[in-house]
Amino acid sequence: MARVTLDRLTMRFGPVTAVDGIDLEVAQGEFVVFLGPSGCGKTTTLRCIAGLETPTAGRILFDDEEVGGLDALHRNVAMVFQFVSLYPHLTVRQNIAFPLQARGVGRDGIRRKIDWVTRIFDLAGILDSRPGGLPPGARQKAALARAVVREPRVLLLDEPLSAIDEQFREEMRWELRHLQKELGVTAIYVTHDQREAMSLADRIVLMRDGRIEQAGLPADIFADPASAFAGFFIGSPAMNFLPARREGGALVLAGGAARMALPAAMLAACADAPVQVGIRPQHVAPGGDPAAPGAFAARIVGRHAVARERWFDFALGEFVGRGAGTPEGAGNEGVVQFDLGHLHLFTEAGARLRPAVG
Amino acid sequence: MARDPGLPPRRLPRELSDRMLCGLFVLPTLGVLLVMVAYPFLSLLYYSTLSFSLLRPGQAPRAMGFGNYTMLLTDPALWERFVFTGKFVVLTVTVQMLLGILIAYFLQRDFRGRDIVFTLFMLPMMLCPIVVGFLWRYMFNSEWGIINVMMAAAGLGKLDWLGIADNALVAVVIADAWMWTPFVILLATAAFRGIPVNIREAARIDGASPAFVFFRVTLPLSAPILAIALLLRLIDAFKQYDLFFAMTGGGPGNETMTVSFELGKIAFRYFYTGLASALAVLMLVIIVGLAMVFVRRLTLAAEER
Amino acid sequence: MRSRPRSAFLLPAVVLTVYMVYSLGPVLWIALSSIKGRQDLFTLPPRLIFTPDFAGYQAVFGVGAARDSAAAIGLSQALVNSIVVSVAGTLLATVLGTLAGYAASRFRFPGRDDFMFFALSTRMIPPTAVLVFYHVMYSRVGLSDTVGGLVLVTTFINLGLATWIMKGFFDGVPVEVEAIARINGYSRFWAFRRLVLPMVRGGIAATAGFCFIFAWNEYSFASILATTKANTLPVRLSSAMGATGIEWTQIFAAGMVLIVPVVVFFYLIRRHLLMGMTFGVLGKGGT
Repeated sequence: MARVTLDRLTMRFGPVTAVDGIDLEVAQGEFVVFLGPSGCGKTTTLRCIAGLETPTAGRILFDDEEVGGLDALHRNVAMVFQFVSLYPHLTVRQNIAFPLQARGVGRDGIRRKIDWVTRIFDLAGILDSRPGGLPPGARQKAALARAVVREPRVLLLDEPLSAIDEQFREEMRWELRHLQKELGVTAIYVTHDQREAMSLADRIVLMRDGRIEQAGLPADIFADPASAFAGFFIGSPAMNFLPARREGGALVLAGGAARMALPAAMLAACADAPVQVGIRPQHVAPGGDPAAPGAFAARIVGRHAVARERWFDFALGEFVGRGAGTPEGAGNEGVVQFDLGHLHLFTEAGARLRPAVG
Repeated sequence: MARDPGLPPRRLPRELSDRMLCGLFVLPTLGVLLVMVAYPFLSLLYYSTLSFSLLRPGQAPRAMGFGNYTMLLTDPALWERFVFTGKFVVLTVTVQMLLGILIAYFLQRDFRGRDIVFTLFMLPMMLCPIVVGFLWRYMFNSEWGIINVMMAAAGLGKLDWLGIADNALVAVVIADAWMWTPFVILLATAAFRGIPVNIREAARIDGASPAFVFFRVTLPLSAPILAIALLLRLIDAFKQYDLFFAMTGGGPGNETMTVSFELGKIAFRYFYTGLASALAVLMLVIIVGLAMVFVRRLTLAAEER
Repeated sequence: MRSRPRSAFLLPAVVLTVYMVYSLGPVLWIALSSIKGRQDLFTLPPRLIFTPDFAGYQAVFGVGAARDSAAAIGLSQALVNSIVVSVAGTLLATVLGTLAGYAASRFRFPGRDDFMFFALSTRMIPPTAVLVFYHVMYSRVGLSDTVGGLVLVTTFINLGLATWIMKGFFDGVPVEVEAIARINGYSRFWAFRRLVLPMVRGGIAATAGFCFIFAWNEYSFASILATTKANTLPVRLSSAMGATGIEWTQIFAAGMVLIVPVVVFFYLIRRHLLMGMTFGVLGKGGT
C-alpha cells in the first residue's frame, strides 16, 4: 500500500506525445480513476506506473522511493488487464499461486493466501477450472484475486470490466469498490466510461491529449467542470452547449433565438467574444412562465423515456438541446426553464469563464 | 454450421452443395495420397512376401511368406543400422531443438538488425542438401579441412572426422543440426510470437524472473507448436539420406549407414526388390506408428486445454 | 528493461554471436570456396585472400573453358527440368493443399482427423522406402525419366505440409465470413473464392514458399526416377563427382547458384512465414 507520486511524467512515442508532463499524487488507499477518451494517455500513464513502459521524462515515486528505474518485475504492483490475462494453461488455483511462486513464497504460505482470496472473491467453485471454460466475469474475478493475493503496493486496473456483460458489470463495480476499501490497497483504474468512473472513484482524474484536464471528486467535477470538455465528458445525457453573445445586459442565445438576462458578475466574465453557455439536461425543465429569468419559448421536438427517466428535446433556432421532465400536452410549442444556478460559461475554445468573486 | 431454420425449401440444395464442395476440395488431395502412399504401401506389402528382383523381370517372383521379414529381423547387422539411426536421430534432434529454442528465445528481444540476422540464420535451410553434404565433407577433411585447421590452431589437434564411425556420427550431426536448426528457430519464433502480449506483461508484473516466465509460461504455451517442430524434425532425421550419402557414403565400412541408406543400397545397388520392400514396410510401420502415438498425445493435450 | 543488469544483455549477445559463427561460417566458406582455383582449395593453411577463379561458375553456366564440363548447368535441359518440376509441383501442391486445407478447416466430414494424419504421413515416408515401388510403377506406366512423373512426386512430397499449413490459415479466418455471405445470398464457393481466399493470400504465399524450397532442392526421388533426360539440377550436380574425383568448385558454385531462387522466394514471403508456421494451433485456446 503506497502513496504514488507522478512528477512531470512524460512519454513520447517518436513524434507523438502520449503523456505530457503529468503531476499527480495518489494517497495511500485512495481509489483514483483515470478517465478520458481513447488516446488521451490514460493507459500509457498506467503502464508507466506499472513499469511496462519506460517514461521519456519525469519521475514516478512509490511513497518516497523512486521506482522509475525498476522493471515491472521488481515494483510489486499488480495489474488487471482489459482482456483477460490469466495463463490459459493453468487452473485458477495455479494462476493465483503464480505470483507467489515467482517470489518464492513457501507452500504453506501459498495455501493460506489462496484460502484467503478464495473466501474474499468467492472462488471456491472454480478454483480447479481452467480460465478457458469460465465466463468473462468469473475470469476477471480470478484475475483480480491473482492481482491482490500478494498484497501489491499499488493495484492497477486497465478497463478490467469492459469485457463483461452490463448487468454483471454493475455488480462487479460495487464489489470491487468494497474490496478495495476493505483491503486498503491504493488503486488506479483506467476507463473511458464516465458512469463507471463516477460510481467507483474517490477521485476522478480526467485526461485529454496527455494532460490532466481536471482532477477532483466525482460530484465536484459534475457540478463544477473546469472546461467545456469536462462538462461534456462527465454526466449523462451530455451537457447542452448553446452558442451565445453578450448584447447589453443580456446574452443572446443560439444566434438570436432567445435573450437571457444574467447576473452582472456572470456577464462581466464574458468579454465581447462569443461564448458557450453550458447547462446540463438535468437543469433544464419544461413549462413555467416564459417571462421568468432563464425561461424561453422553445419548440419541443422530441420526447424520450428511459425506464423511469423522462427527457425531452427542445429547439431554439438552429440549436437543439435536451432537458429533463415531460412537457405538458403533445404540441410543439412550449417553454423551457434553465436553472441559472447551474449554468456555466465557456469560451468558444472551451475554457471556463468564472464570474469574478466579491 | 448455422442453418436458417426459417427456410426449409432451400436447406436441401444448400447442404448438398456444401457436401459436394467438401468432396471436390478433398478428393484431389485424397486421390494423390492414395496413389502415392496407400497404393505403394499395399503393393510393398505384397512385394515383401516375394523374392524377386527388378533387374530380372523375366524371372518369375517366388512367394516367400514372411521369409523376407525373418531374414531382416534376424540379421544383427540390420539391428546395428537401426541402433545407429536411432543414435543419430536422438542426437541431432536434441541438438537442433535445444539450440533452435535458445536462439529463438534470444531473438525475441528487439535489437537493431534483428530481422536481417533472422533472415541470415535461415540460409542453411535453403541450400541444396546434397551441396550441404559436400560442403561439410570438405570442411571436415582431416588434412586440409578448415575445421581441423582451426582445431590445430587452437591446440586441440586434428581429428579424423569422417574416417572413424563415432566421429563421423558427430560430424553428420553437426551438419544436420546446422542445416535444420533454422527450421526450429522459425517454428519456435512463430510459437513465441503467438503468445498474447497481455500474458507476458502479466507475468512480468507478477514479479516472475525471465527464467521463471520462460519455463512456466512461454514454454507450456508454445508446446503445441514445438511438438509439431519436434515431430517434423524426428521424421526428417529418421529419413536423412542426402547428408550421409555426400559426407560418409555410409563409411567407414558400413558403420554410418542409416536404415534409409541401407534400404537404398538393397533396393538400388543389389536390386533385392522383395527384401527391400520388406524393409520399407518395417520402416513405414515404425515411423507411422511413432507419429500416430505422438499426434494422438498432441490432440489429447490440445483437447485438455 | 533499462535497469536490467548488464549480464542480461551479455549472455544473449554471446550466444547469438557464437551461433552466428556456426551458422554463417560455412555459408561464407562455401561462397569463398566457390571462387577458389583448384590449387587454392587445398592449401594449408586455407587462404582467405586469393585470386578469385570463376572456373566453377563457368562450368556451372557452361561458358568459357568449361563449356563441356560434366556438371555444366548452363541453359541445359536440367535447368529447364528443375524449373518446370519445381514450379509445377509447387503450384499443384499449393492449389490442392489450399482446397483440402479449407475443407479440413470448415467441414466436419467423416474421417477428417484420419485424413489430416494421412496427409502428414506423406512427410514421414522415407524416399528410399517408396522409391522401390515408384520405380516399378513408373516403369510400368511409362513415367520413368519423365518430367511429368517428377512433377507428380514433387506435388506429393509437399501436399501434406501444404494441407496442414493452409488449414492453419483457414482456421484463423472466422466462420462468420461465410455466414454473412450466405445470409446475403451468396454461395459458399463464392464466399471461399471472393472473401476467404483473399484473406489468406499471405498463407498461400508462405505455403508456396515452403513447397518451393523442398521441390527445388529435392534429390532422392529425382536421382532414382529421373536419371537422364528428365534429371534436375541437384541430380546433375551429383554427377560433378564423376570419374575424375569430386569437382569441389563446381559443386560449391552450383550450390551458390541454386540457392538464389530460394532466397528470392524466401524474401518475397518473409512477412507471412511466421504466421504460417503456427499451423493454426495457437489462438484457438480458451482466452
